[in-house]
Amino acid sequence: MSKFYRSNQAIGVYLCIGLGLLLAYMLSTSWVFRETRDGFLLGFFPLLGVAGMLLCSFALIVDPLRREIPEDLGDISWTETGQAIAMLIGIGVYFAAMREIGFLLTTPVFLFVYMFWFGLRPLKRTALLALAIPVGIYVLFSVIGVRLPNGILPAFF
Amino acid sequence: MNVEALNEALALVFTLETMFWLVAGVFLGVGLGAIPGLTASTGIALVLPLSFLLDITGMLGLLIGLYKGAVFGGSISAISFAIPGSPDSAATVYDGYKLTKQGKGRKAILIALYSSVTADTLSDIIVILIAPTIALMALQFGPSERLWLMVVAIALLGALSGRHLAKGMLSAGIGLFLGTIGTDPVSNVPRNTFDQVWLRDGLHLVPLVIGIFAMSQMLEQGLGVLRSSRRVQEASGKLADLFSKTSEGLTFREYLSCWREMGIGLGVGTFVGTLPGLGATVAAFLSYGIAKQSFPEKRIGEGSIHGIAAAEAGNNATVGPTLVPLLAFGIPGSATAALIGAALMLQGVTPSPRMFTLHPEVIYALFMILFIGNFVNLGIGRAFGFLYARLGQVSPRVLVPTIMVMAVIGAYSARGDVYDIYMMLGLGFLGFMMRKIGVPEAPLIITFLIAPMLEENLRRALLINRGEWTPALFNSPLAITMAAFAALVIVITFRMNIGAKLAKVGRADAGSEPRVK
Amino acid sequence: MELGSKILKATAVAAGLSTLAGPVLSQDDYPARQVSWVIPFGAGGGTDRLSRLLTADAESIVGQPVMVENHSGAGGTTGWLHVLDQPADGYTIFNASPTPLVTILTEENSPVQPEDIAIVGYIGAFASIIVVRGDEFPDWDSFVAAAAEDPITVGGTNSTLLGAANTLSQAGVEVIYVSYPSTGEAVTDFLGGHIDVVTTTESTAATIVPENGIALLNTSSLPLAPEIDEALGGNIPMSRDLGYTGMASPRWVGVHPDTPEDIQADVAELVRKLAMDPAVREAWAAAGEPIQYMAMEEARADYKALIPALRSAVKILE
Repeated sequence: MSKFYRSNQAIGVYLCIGLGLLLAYMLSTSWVFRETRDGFLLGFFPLLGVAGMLLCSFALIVDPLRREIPEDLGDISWTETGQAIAMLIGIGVYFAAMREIGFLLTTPVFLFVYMFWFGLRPLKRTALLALAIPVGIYVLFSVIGVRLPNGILPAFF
Repeated sequence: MNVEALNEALALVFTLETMFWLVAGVFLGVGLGAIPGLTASTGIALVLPLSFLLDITGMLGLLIGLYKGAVFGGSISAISFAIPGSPDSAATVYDGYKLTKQGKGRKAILIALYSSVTADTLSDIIVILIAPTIALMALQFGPSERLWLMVVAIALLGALSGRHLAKGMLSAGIGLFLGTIGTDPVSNVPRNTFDQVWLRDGLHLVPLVIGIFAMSQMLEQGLGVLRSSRRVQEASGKLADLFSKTSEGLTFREYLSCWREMGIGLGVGTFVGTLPGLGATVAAFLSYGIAKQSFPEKRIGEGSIHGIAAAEAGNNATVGPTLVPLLAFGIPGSATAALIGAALMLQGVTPSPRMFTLHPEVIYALFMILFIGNFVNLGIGRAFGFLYARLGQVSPRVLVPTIMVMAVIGAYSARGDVYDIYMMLGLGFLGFMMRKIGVPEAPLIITFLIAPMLEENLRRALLINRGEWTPALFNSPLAITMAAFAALVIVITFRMNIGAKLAKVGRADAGSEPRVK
Repeated sequence: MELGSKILKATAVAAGLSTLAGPVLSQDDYPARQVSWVIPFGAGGGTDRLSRLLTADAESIVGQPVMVENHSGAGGTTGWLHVLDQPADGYTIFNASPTPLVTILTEENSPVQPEDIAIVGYIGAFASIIVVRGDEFPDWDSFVAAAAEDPITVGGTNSTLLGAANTLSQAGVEVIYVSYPSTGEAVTDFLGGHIDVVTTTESTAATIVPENGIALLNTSSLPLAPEIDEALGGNIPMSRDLGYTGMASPRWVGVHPDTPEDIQADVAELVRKLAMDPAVREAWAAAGEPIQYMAMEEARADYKALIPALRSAVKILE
């Protein structure tokens, strides 16, 4: 039974539900039905996209490959999905901090945390790389003329 | 031909200074192109202030060298890390990265370089010989004709959708939907923005490509490291082979065997480059799609040098032709051409039809630099490609976080829009999920790029023809020819695809065929 | 921006001019520190390029560096919101085109209103020129007569179409507006004969005229620079000449609306000094867009008239 939840058919069902909700949301907004001066509804092309996606999701439920389990989905767990989301959130936080405090102060911290997380040892090496790489990137970008956020540090170039 | 001007141009071009700036331009271009998020136009915008200080040939050398280098450079990271350095090398990822995983990264980079340079050189010759004629041909392409060109491009999607057609089309649907976010092209009012003003400009291609291709790949590799999966180490181990003397290079015979793909890339790239607004990314995917469709026996998409040759020939062949509308009418065909035009204007040479009579020496010099640039690209690209790919030897524990940082800076420096980063991260997750459920990325990128253009041209054609569909679609013999061509492509795609797919499905159901990704 | 100052010097020398450092005199000490010059567009675009030429040598012109900051996104409103977030002390200057105005006029719940800025001057303005094929419409009257018989197709980018729509609607001329994302595509379709008329800025019009068309009308509220008028064939009629109110697309400069009056005047003076600097003017002219400076009072009046005109033009194109 647990296999069904990972099959193409199940994916089709999830997608149909999600897209159905999206469609309902769109149809509830007023802009969709607004007519532009060339006669097209403002929502025509976006709805075409949703309709296309719905049709394909439905096809996943019924087509000959419906019982197949996508190769990469066979071994993924909720823990891993959570890890992926955590990685993305970490990057988002890093970016927000970089804009405030500056590239040179935040990047070593980010790199150190991620390299440590990914299991880079010994710590001395992790720390050294986490310091050296941002400096290298900063110099490279300064040479080609891109200003990375300096934040609270004065500009070096 | 004006001999005096020709001599003057020769004297201007063959100076130490011009050559220095040309080499510097190519060097910078390959380097920038290989960094995700930094494209040819960002690179040119960055060096524009510097170019004002140079004399006119030095400036042309720097900018054109940078342009050529950047369009090739994108393929290096596409092949080595599955991360397209710029959107136009996204089509190179499929075959390139698979070859790297097979330990044939060196071969992949070499074919990318040779096909880029070959198609670029030949398209430059075409530009030099028949620039005015091409420009006139491009003029015949109004909204109706362009519309059919887009239909042809979309029809080729079938070839890019992989084994499971419904998933390929689902990907195309996502691209179509994402492409409608922003502003309605005719009425100029917000559309599909979920009431968020920051979505008014729509999604930008650079964060989209970085998110879908690079970030999703990094997530997967990051998870792989956490799991200490063999696969990641295997791939990076294979990258090391690039430098061992025993690693497989590219034989001349293999290079020659790609002549058809390079021909397709040359034709598609030259043509697409001449039309304003399409650009190198469309050319690369179109040429890849056509090659894949035409030669199923070459197994393009499964790690074939022929796929790389088609994609890379396609994008580099647009470089010279983008300048055609600029030189013939003073109209830049792309952002990059606009910047080159701006640089020319600041040097006191206004690009216009009169440029051929007013400044013939500049035109000749430009042609010479276009031509010589290819050979510089060949030398620098080769050295740089292997140097850069050496990064692949670094442990993924170091490489993955570093590329994440580069992806953030790349997406940010493209426009300096904060929301681009969050979009890039969100799209990274979308790409990650798509990968997990086996939905291919290429159709998404193609419809994201082409569907809005198709819509614009359709609505424009309808406006011009007072809302009448028949004249809007078939208003000239050229439009009818294009329509017939589009129909032909669709028929061929379906016959080949459906037939092949049904056969495959049949076998898969019988359990006789191993699953191929 | 040391490089920038070199550029200006190089340009000035090339033109046989010497860089005149403006007098660093003022009643008070404004500017006492670095000034931010915010533009709502990314690096590499037209506004970016011109802003960098304008501010490159600011330190020697006004005594303090003026740094260009790109805050792009959301159709130009991101940069505007950024300016409103900064203190109203005159050290953050906003330089934009009509693009953010069009965005907020079409947005239902706009976070910014056109009044949320204190205009301190215009540093340029581009016109929307109606370019036609001379054999089809030799003059304005023939154009109006033809349009009455059968709708004419008029192409262009959104900003030039808005300028044209403003005048054409006053004249009661009904045409079909065909929008293009870039000037290049619009001009190509005009040259290929797919559209009847193209509306462009004056610098683009100069690449079409005289070989491939004539400049029929300047729909701007401002006259063309003499050298550009000359390049377009001389004596280009303006909307005003026909009895209509024209509309310019200004490169407007403003500060936070809460800025005290005296500081607003200081900022206006800073902008004037930059815009009047000979080397800066030379650089803009070389870039194909000569500086058209308009002082604070005059610019405020024009901006005030621009908003309703733009609002109704936007409605026509919806």
